[in-house]
Amino acid sequence: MRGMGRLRRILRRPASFVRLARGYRAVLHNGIAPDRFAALIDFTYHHYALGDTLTSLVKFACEAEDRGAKAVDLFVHVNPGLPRAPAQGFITPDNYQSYLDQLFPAFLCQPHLGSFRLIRDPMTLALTTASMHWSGAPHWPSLKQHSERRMSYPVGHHEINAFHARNGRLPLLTAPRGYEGWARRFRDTVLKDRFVVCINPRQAKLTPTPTTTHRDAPLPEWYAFIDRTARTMPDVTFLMLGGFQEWEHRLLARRNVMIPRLTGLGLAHELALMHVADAFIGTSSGFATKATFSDRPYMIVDIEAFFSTFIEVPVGGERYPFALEHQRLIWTKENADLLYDYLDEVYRASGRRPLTGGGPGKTSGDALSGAGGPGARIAGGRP
Amino acid sequence: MMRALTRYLRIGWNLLLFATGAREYHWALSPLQQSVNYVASLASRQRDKPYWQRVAVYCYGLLKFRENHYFDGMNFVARLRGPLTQAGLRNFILWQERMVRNQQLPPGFKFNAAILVQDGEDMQTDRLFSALCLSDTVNGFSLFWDKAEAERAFAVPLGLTDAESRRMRAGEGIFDLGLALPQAAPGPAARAGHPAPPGADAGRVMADADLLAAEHDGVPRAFHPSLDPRRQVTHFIKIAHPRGYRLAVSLPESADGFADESLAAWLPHLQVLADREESLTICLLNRFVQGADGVSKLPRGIHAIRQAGLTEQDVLAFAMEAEGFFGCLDIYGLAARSAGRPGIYVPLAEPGPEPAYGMRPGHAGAARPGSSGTPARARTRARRPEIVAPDPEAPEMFAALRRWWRDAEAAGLARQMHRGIAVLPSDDGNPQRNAAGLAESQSSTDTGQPVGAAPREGDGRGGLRLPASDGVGTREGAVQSVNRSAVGKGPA
Repeated sequence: MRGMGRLRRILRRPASFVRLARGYRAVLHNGIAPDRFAALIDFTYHHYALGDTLTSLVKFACEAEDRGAKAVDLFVHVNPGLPRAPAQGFITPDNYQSYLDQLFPAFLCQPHLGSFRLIRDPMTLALTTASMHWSGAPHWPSLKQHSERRMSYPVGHHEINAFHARNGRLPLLTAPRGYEGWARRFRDTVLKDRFVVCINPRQAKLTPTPTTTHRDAPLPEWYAFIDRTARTMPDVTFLMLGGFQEWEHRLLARRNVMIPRLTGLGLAHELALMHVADAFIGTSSGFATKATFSDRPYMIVDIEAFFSTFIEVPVGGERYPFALEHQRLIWTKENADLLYDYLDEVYRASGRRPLTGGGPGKTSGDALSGAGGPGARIAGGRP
Repeated sequence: MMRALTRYLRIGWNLLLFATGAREYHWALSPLQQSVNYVASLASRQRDKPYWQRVAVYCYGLLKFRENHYFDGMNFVARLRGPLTQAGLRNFILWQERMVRNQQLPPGFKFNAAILVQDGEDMQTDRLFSALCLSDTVNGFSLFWDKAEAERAFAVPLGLTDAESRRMRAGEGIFDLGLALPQAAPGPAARAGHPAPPGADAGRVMADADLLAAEHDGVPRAFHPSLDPRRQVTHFIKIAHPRGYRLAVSLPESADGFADESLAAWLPHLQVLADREESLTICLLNRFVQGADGVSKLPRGIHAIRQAGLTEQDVLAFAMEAEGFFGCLDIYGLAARSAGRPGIYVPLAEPGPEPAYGMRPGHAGAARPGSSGTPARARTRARRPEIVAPDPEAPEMFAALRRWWRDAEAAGLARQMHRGIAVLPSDDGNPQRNAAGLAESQSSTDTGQPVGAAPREGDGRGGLRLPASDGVGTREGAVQSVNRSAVGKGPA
């Protein structure tokens, strides 16, 4: 009898191994639904960068539509011990939460977002990537790409342009999920019938981690542009987008400028406000990427020549292949006249007419003191 | 050489015993688990060799699969209907306390949280994510807008363990972030389903003593500011408000998460306080849509600190750092509470008196003409909020606050909030005394005595006791200096 019991025990163990293998196989094959697109952003080789993240989201949306997926499931992996790519050494295990928090609203702009999953555990990541590979569901990246842990920057537009060439349209970025209603209420009740222009003159040199400062905007030109606009287009309100450090105190004196971060709003609100604004003017950066993949008029200035190969637009080219009306690229540094002329164009296209006067590039004491007329002051009320 | 050979022989022998079923192990210590873990760690070190990286992926995947098969109490699911309100954010923090409680897991173990969003097209998740980034409790985090996908993900061990998935299918274990806390103190009555406060949905009340206790004690593990928020707040205080007494104030918010309406009602009362005490700085924690216009005109001594560019994480860190707290027991209140800040905490789910009478300062306690008042209303009027603990570093300031609070403006303020005021006194850390206090509180609840109206020990009316020393209590029972930084400290 004792021998039989031992034999049973000996046979039970291999049987349990077989059950384990079968169960593992079932999980690998069924982990991801075949009718959904699984996208993984792994910050051990992705950058914490708004522009690259938004471009990646559009790529995912294009591929999901190409593969007939119903929705996009977004997996975001951060390894708390090594939370960044080698190029972003200033991000450490002690502060990565802040960078992740600041970037989170960008993920909500994915047009087909079905779920968002933050993974901070290597075992969960492994099971997820293995399941992506074996379930047959459309996904990005492939297991091979993920194993190599390499990514070239900036993220190019090749797949996006190809999708547009095939379909004649693009899946555009939306307002961050949950914020569109708020933005529309804000537009209706606070901004009312004003002509709202989002601006983002890049100022990396004012931030704690200045990078590529040669792309920073010439602020005197922007101030001259804003002041001239205050005189000739008193119903224009500029929304200054970007981090709290990225604007100078001089903007506070200009009463046709509203700074959302000053009121406690964050990136999510700014991206949502871009969705309901009348135009965007800004330096080539993350907010410009949001404008690029939207249907709003925009002018993106100071695009670097090396970017040409990544976006498949020749240096000096005025439009992306998928650009709509009044969507324009400028490859040189901006000046006040250039900015004003573009605003004048989109302002007139909206059926409004600027007031006469207000010489080019002049800085007016009236504008600084807010004498853009009573309408220049943002009306009261709340959304 | 011989030693290594002996070691390998022993490992081989143990493997043989395990494979033949002659020896049983705990799943986490079994030779299978350890062997796979060993291979995975070796393979993952070969960072430039994609083949070995793939081996590591499959090995770690197998480990996770086994963990999901055997483990329980690691993943938690919550449901959220509609916009994420002040109460929803507060509940997110209390939910973390629920995760930690009743777990036979090592201290510091982190959990995975999944939130199923229903009818959530207006759900603004940025503050939720900021709270998550501040947490030392939650590791993995999922948001599902698609119920079918959520159920599918939960069904396989990618999302939940087998045991958790079984509970989900049985309709158990889903936390509702939209529910209201019961008004009562913890006790059998609360567990049995305390009657909902007037104005609250009677069917949507959490009858859970643990949650009430968490609201009372704070949830230290939920507030663990990393390097940046702490640095930012320290700089902000040194530059903007280096001296004086900083009182963090949290006002009631609208469904959008803004407090403009409340500010209009509160401002005159806050101004009275600011005018009376020159060294007092009132720091508003909430968001205000009209910041560029309205809030920039705030009276002297009152500041909307988000105007200085503080993010949500920074503001939570500030609530933990400020010398005192006054306002809603929302996420900011819980942060201050967790850091042991003295203050007046107004529970979010409290029922309020009717707001139409006695609005003038100086007539705060006056009853509505012709109204005898129900017992509940009478109790609300009878409440006299207390400062929890005077600050040993600035006793005159707390004395002024206490005087102010007892004045008519304070009662007027209470009515502006449309809520009753209750003070959650800090305990002195003595477990027996705690238990006694809770028991007394329970008896006061059963007799209809509100917790917030609890008088001091020795006045013969029951209720939660204030510490005899008037110090800010810690779990160790020591009096904690309120002047000390509480930001960045580890879990209790």
